[in-house]
Amino acid sequence: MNWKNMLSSLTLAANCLLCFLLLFYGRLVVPSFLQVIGRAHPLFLHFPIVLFAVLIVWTWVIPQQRFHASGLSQQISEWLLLSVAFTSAVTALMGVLLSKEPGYNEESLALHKWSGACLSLIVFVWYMLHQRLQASKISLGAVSLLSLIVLIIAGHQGAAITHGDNFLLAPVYKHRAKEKVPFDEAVVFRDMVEPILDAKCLGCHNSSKAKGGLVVSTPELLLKGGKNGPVLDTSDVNMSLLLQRIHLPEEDRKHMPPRGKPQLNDQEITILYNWIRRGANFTVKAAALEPTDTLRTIANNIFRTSADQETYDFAAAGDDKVRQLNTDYRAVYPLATGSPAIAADFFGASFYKPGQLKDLLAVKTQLVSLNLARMPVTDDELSVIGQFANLRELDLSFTRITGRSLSALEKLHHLKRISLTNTAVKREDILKLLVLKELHHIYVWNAGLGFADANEIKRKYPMLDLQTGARTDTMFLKMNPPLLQTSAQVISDTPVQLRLRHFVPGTTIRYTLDGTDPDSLHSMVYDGRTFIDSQVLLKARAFRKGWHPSDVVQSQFYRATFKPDTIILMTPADSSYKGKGGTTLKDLQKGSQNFGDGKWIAFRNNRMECMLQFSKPVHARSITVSSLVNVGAMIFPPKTIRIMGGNDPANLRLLFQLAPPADTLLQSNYLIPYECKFPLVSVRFIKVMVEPFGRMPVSMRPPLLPSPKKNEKPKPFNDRGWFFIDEVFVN
Amino acid sequence: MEKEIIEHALHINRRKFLSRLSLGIGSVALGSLLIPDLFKGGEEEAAITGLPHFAPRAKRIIYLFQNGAPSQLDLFDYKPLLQKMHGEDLPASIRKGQRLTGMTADQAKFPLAGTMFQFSQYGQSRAWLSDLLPHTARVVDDICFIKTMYTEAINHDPALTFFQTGAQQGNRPSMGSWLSYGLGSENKNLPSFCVLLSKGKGNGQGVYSKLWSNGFLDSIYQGVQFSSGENPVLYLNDPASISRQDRRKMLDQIAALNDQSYKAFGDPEIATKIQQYEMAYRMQTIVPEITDTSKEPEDTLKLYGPECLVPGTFAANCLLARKLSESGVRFVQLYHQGWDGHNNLPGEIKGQAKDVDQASAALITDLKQRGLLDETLIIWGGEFGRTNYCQGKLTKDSYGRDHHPRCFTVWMAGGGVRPGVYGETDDFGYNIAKDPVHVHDFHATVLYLMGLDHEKLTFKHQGRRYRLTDVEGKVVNGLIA
Repeated sequence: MNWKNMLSSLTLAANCLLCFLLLFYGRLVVPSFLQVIGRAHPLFLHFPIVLFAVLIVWTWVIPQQRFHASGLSQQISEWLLLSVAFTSAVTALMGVLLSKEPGYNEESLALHKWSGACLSLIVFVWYMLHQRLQASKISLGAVSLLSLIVLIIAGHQGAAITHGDNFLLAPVYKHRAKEKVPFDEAVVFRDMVEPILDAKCLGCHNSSKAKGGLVVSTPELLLKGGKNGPVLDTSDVNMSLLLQRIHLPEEDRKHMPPRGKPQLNDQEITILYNWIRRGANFTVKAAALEPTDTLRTIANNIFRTSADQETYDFAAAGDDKVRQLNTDYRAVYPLATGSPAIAADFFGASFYKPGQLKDLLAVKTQLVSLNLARMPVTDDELSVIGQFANLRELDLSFTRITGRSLSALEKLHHLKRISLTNTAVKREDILKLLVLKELHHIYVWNAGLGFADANEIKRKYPMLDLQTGARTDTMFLKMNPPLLQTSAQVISDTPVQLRLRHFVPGTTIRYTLDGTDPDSLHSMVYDGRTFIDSQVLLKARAFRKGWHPSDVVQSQFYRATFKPDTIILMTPADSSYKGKGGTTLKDLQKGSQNFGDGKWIAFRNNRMECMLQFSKPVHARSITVSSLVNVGAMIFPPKTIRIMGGNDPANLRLLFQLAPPADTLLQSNYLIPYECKFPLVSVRFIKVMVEPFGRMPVSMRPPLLPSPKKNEKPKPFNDRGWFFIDEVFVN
Repeated sequence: MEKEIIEHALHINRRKFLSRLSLGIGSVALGSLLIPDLFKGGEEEAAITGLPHFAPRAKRIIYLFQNGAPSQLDLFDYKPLLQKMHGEDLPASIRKGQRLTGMTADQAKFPLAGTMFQFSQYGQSRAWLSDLLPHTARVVDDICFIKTMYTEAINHDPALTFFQTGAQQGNRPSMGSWLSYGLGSENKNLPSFCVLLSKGKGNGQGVYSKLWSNGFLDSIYQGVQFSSGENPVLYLNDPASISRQDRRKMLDQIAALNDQSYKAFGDPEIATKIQQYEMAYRMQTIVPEITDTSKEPEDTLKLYGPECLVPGTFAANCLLARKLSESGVRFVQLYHQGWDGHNNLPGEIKGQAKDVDQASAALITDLKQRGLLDETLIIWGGEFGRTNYCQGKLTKDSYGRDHHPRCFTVWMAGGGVRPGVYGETDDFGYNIAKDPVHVHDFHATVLYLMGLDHEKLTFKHQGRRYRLTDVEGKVVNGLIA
């Protein structure tokens, strides 16, 4: 078996086939099983390259005399050359098969294809003629050099196709990469949409391949569309063919980009969708979009990385210098780690001295932000500020400057934002500042110009953000009520001082003790010298010029002149609210509307009877039963109240009887004292009897709703009303 | 003889070994010359300089924390479907097995409760707000409403802890402490992290100092809670008989004694204490001019409401927060309790909303007119949301809502935040439809606005590097202007 001959014939056949395929390249269609072989090209190409390297080394580096005698060197040369020829022919064939797959850059592919084919042919010819070539060193050298050059070209192009241009030297050349476009100059189409089209669509939709008749390399061709019509139909967003295709499910045959190719990520789809939806404008800039626009947000993130929001062209000041400038009342610091820009803040108005501003001249080139708010800065110091040439932000709010020397700031060409809130700066001074082209934000709340002036300026300069602050002179609000600071509610021996407080200085508090609502004309003015010594209902209200009067705050005061020695409950209180029995009724502790606070006792199923006992007779003329009503909680006014008195507990006479007015309104919720007045008596025993409300009418009963808890039986309903009492006052 | 045999076999002798060794070390040295970071352990250096990692949008934060969880369905998230389906049971397909709290686990039904309040749209962003928040409605164009916050915690303590410290388990530093650690205070005379508390009349849940603790960071970074009474800082003034110089001498002597202790015991708390004394000394001069509210102009009263001069109210805390913030306090946190509307929510929420509405809106307006809104980040929100179904009995004019972690609303203003509405919940107001923002993502975004990379602000503790966002969190670009 003559292997050499067979291999040589195969190589000849392969090269012939190669030429044939290249000749009729345009009509070549590769079936899928051959595509597999084609895809082995990147694998197989390593063989001819390595073998070629060995061949070169063998031919030119290894001294041949050593092997000449045995004829071995001749054989080795021939075999090497043959194997290079064979493998390169096979590689070239595989390459042709692979080249028919979509997605390759036409130019690189062409060069690679032809140089690869050339290499295969050159080496084959070299093999066929190697006897003759070997005779002359020159011819051998020429053919070696030629094949080496062609190999390098082919190899380099192959790498460029696979890895992209300039792959080898890319790390070294990284800093010369495409200029980053700053946000203000970014054009939506050129800098956001076009890169997507270039990266993911241009591979097939370029002028040489033009898949589907569509070319996306220029706006005109993009607008023209392809064989299925225009792809950017901006009139109907849903039907825009481009959007349709990119939004199809990935398995769909028509989905773009095709399967196997790099797909669009979410952000890219959003960019394309929003760009088309807004009319596919080729010239609009990202900065011109609305702040709430999605495209602008994305543009912000692409073009404005956090690190270079603003690039500064000056060098940093020394760390030591900056550190030295820091005192307890002045903070000087770089804006961020590694940033040359410096900010300075002043604190503590009482510690401020004009010289402190001059100290900052040490970093006058680097100072970018200066905060002098609330410092006693005067006009003379503005000349120092004018020397901070790179200042972007200046806060002079609440300082003592007037407008007259604002012209000192006219050299601050980078100034973007200035606050003149609450200074005496006037309209003309503001206008002087407008010569600064970068100045877009001026704050003039409470400054020396009125709203009319400010509106006029805003009209003339619509791009200027002139903040005048909120208008409060037309606001009419309600004052908040005064705070009652007297905690005692029951007065027994000594009068109690009425203490009312309002936290807003300059507010007048007026009050009444007769139960009427205070008004600003007739009621008494609170001056802190009032004392309360009887049972009164206090009502107080706050008044202030320019404000609506406050809500009324009220408090009931009770008088307990005579304190019984004991109170005996002759009928039991309800077990849920028994307090401390009779003692609760005389401890002078008023209960609150929270009837579970322990200061109340209650009666429900039986009437109340209690006996007050005095060791010495008292001259009483009234009994106050202090109670509460909360219809929602089924606490009602009692049906009757009867007061009996005398000196013999077995023999008391009726002193007073009252049927309080009923109240069944569902919202009723208040404390109420029942005052029972009678002619003066001198007694040692007083009996109080109260009949609670009794059964509620059916109409008043709450609806029986099913219990929200699972598996809970509804409880039987007790329809008797409650009566609550916390104190009995004897006067 | 053995040695020679071994050497011969190994082809090595002492001379060769030493020369090879020098070659090896030399090559490593060459490597370190070429690759400067070859021997560097990690990137912790960047975080500790006290400077932001990159140019910040916001310099300070005021965090208005609504403790107890305000009901987003009655304030921000308009869901007319709930009103239409009022009383019907919550479909299981929507609930998707969300775990219930112990309070509603026994409930047989989950009747949907439509809001009782009117909603309208406001501003250019067409944000929905209920009529409980009329003042907020006027400043809606400065606010970004994040409708799709979500968390895993379902009860107050873990949820609060999660929001403040980044983990449901405690003992970690709070957000303010991390910021204090990463950025320090602008004004050396004030603490960099202050906390102000107030309470509404609604059902309240407690707050505790764990929420502003420094965790494992140095205790100098803990939050300083101001008092809710008439004097936010007690004992500020020296007694009549002690002059400032006396005070200074006293502090110097105490510092010397403490220093001796520190040298003997090395307890880091001693160092903190020395620093706190110094801080207190400096606060004595600065704080009175900040807490003095007697000279507030009429404008301020009208903006915040007259409550802003009543100590201990939310409005007063907002005013104090603005004054602290403009004086350089890095992180001011307010807590307003009482939002936990399990029962009688409509009645309680009216009072709660009235407490906070005017002052929160006033804070935005006030900072804006002083030119500070762009560098101050204001955050408003609770620890989770409330359910769309009623807890307890659903009556004609009252309902209660239980805790709901799956979606709730937080709003942010100023500080580089993009105004508008972010995210959407589904029609039932139960699940998130698009753009979810987890608490970790929220933290990452807040740190980003302050100029900090949330992955770089770390502290090594117990063998691993902790950070506020733990091991998660992505900056939400859609929130940033």
